[in-house]
Amino acid sequence: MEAFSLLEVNQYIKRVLALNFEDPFWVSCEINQVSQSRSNMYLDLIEKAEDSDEILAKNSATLWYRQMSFIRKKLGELTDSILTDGVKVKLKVSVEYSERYGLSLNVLDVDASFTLGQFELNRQKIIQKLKNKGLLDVNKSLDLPNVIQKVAVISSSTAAGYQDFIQHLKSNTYGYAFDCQLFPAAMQGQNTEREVVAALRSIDTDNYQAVCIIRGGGSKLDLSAFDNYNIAFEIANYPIPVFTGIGHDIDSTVTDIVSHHILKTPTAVADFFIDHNLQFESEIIQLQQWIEQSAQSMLQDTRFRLQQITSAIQTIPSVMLNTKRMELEHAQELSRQLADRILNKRNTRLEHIENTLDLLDPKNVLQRGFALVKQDNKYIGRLSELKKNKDHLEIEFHDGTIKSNISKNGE
Amino acid sequence: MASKSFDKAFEQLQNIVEKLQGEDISIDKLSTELKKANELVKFCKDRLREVESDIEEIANDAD
Repeated sequence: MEAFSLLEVNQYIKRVLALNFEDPFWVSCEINQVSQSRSNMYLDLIEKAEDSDEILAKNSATLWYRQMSFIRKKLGELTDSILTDGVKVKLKVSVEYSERYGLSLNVLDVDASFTLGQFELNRQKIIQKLKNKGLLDVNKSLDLPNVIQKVAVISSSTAAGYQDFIQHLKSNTYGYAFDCQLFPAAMQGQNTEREVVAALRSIDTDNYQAVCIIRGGGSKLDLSAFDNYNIAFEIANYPIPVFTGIGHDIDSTVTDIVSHHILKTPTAVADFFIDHNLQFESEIIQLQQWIEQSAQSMLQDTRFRLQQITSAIQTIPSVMLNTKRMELEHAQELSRQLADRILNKRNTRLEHIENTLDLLDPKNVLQRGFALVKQDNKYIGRLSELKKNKDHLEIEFHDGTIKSNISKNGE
Repeated sequence: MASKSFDKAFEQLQNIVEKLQGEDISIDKLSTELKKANELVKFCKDRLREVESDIEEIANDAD
């Protein structure tokens, strides 16, 4: 049987491919691995099954220096964020086949909007999943301690953001002491999820009052590692408040959304802790002032009341004494007057009796021209009292007595 | 009289005044009652002076 040489086969494959892939085309895939050599970039492209990590297709691609310059000029800072491990991309490629090196795709262009869209889609899916499980506000519902001093920091030790954070806390003008412990983790790229989750799990939460996840600024795609369900799930179920300061201007990452507080930068997190402690100290100072003022006010009130009571004690008895004195004098005067009145009345009645007696005195009657008739030394008031066998009478006038004989009686 | 209280003495004084107001009193007892009333007035005034003096003393102690 006739056999083809390998070169013949490869030449044939090259012709077939050249005929079928004459023009460049767009392909969507995921970057599995990136490596660079002599300013050229070598990409390992894959396509995974929708609901698992099973790799359905795999190919190598090359981004030559010249095309790389073009793409960098076009995408700027986004270039490194897009062309990195684990990112879903849409690439314009041409198929190249070398008899010696085999099949390869030459990358000619990158569709940044596709990658950004993929990230946003992924972000929305995670948010919806967290929402369905009721995990979005769980960490937010934790009470903050009155004072935050012991802080577990998840960051990269070399990150400028971490240094800024530590420096900012140390130089706070109020002299508050902070005890910060770094739990290192990657702050971007494929390792972020694994390392941040591991860092969160390694923190002894009994020894800290808060955790903060901080990093310096970066592009939206740099932060895409924080649009991660596992990190969010860990934070949502975390027993102490988690703060984020991972640098962003517009949209929050999923990590931010589930955290207790979202702050833009590491220094903003530091400022929050300082202000939080300052607020507590202010409340304590206010409370102290209130206690002092209340005590002063109570003392003043008591002094005033004591003064009133003292004044009343000094005044009331003398008023009572005077009242009683007046009542006594009144009673004394009244009793005298009443006694006088009684005496006068009785006196008047006596005088009246005396007058009556005077009027009735026979001597006084004789003086008025009347005379008394006596017979045998006995006054005769009626004719019938006269003794018929006796004819002598004595008639008594006020100025003398005469004897008289009865000559004839009235019969 | 010394063992009497001010209130009791004052009450007796008022009773005498009421009796005099009602003129329901024998003349023989009038002077006796008046004398008694004056004694009661004196007793009460003395008690008031005593109390006043006590109060002044207490006030001086408090100062």
